[in-house]
Amino acid sequence: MSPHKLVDEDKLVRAAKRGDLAAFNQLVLMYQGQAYNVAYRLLGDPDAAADATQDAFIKAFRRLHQHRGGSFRAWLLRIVTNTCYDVLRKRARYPTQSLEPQSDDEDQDRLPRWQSDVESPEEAVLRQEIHWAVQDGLAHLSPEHRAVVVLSDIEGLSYEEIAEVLHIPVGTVKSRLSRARARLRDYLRAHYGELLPRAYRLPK
Amino acid sequence: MRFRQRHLSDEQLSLLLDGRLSAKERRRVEAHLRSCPTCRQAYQGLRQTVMLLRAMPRVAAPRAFTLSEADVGRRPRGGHSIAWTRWATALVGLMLVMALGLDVMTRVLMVGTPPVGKDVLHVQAESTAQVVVTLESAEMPAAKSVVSKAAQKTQVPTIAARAVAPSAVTPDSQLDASSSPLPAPLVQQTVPTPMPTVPVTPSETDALARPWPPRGILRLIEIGLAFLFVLLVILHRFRG
Ligand SMILES: [Zn+2]
Repeated sequence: MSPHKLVDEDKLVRAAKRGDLAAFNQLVLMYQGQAYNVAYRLLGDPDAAADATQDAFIKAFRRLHQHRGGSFRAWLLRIVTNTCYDVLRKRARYPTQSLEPQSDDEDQDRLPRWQSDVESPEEAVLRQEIHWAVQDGLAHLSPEHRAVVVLSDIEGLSYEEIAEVLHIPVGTVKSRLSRARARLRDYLRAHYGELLPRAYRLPK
Repeated sequence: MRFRQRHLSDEQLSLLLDGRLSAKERRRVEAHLRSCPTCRQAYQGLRQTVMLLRAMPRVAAPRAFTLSEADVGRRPRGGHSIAWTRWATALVGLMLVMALGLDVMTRVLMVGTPPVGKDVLHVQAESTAQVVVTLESAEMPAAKSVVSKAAQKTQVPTIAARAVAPSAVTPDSQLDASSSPLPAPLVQQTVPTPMPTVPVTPSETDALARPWPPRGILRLIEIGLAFLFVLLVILHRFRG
C-alpha cells in the first residue's frame, strides 16, 4: 500500500467519522470487492455473501467511532468476518441451508471471467473443478480455520494484519494457519485424490 | 534418519512456506527436508494446497454496496457536502446570469449599441449560455437584487484576472464598422430582456462614454463567475 493511498484513506476515515456518508461510500468502493470475496469464501454462497457484505458496511458506518486508528481494512474485515460467523451460527442452529458450494448457474456464469484465451476447454473445465474442490474443502473446515486460510492465502493478508482482523495473537495466527492448511491438504487428498495431480500440472 | 530427530511440524513447514522462519531455524528445517521423504511429502502437499488457494478466482461483487441516507437511518438530504455544492452552484449560476444581464443592459441602455466583444468573449458567453440552460436551479428568484449586488462585490474576478486582463482592458468605445455585427442570439437566450437593435451613430457613443459599472470590471466578474461555476459543476459531478 502506497503512503499516498494511506493519506487519502486517513482523510476519508476522518471525514466518515464526522458523519460524511459520501466519504464513507468512497471507502466502501475501495474495499467492497475484498469484503465481498471474504464473505463469499466464508459462506460459500453468493446471495448470503452479498447480504453479509451489506450488513457489514452498515454496521461499520454505525460503529466508526469504535475505530481507533490502525488499519481501516483490518477493522472492516473484522466486521465482515464477525458478520459471517453470525450467519454460520444461525445456519448451524437451523441446518436447512448447507455449507456446500453451490455448483449452480452462478458458478457457471463466472467461468468465462478467469478463463484465459489460450486455455483449452478441457483446461477450463479442470480449473473449474479444482475451484469447486477447494471451495468444498474450505466448507469442511471450521469457521475459524476457514477464516485464517481465506485471509492469508486467498486475500494475501500478512500474519500481523490477520491477527488484527481476528483479534488473536500473531502466534495463534501461525499455529491456526498451519493447522488449517494441513487439514485442507488432507481433505483434498482424501476426496479429490485423482483430481489434484492433474491440477498441479495446470499452467499458472 | 541421520539425526534421530522428530519429524517437522506442520507449523514449521507452513512458516517455511511463508518465509517466516529465522535464518537458523530455516537451515535446520531445510536440512531435515533433504534427508526425510516423509516431511518432504508433507511439505509438497502443503505447498500445493497454498498454490491452489492462491489461484482461486476473485469473484466480482454483484452490486455496489454504497449506503444511502436511509440505509443508515438518516433522513435523506442530510449530507452537507452535496447540499453545499448544489446551493453554491445554483447561487453562482444565478449571479452569472445577473452579471450577464447587467452587462447587456448597460450596453443597450447606456451605450445604446449592441456590444462588440472579442472572440474570447463570444465563446465565453456561448459556453455560459449553455451551462445556464442545463442548470435546473432557478430556485431563488427572490434574491435578484441581493445577488446582483453580490456579483458586483465579489472578489472572484481576481482569480481570473491574469488570464483575462488583455481582452478586458480593450476599450469598448473602439467600435468600427467591420466588427459591428452582433453576437446577439445566444445572449438573448440567457437574458430575459430582449435586445433591441438600435442603429448607432458615432455621436451617441461619444455622449455616453462612461457606462457603469465599468465594462472591464464587469467582464472580469463574468469570467470569474463562469470559471467558478464550471468548477462547482465539476466538483458536484465528482462528489454526487
Ligand atoms: Zn521428517
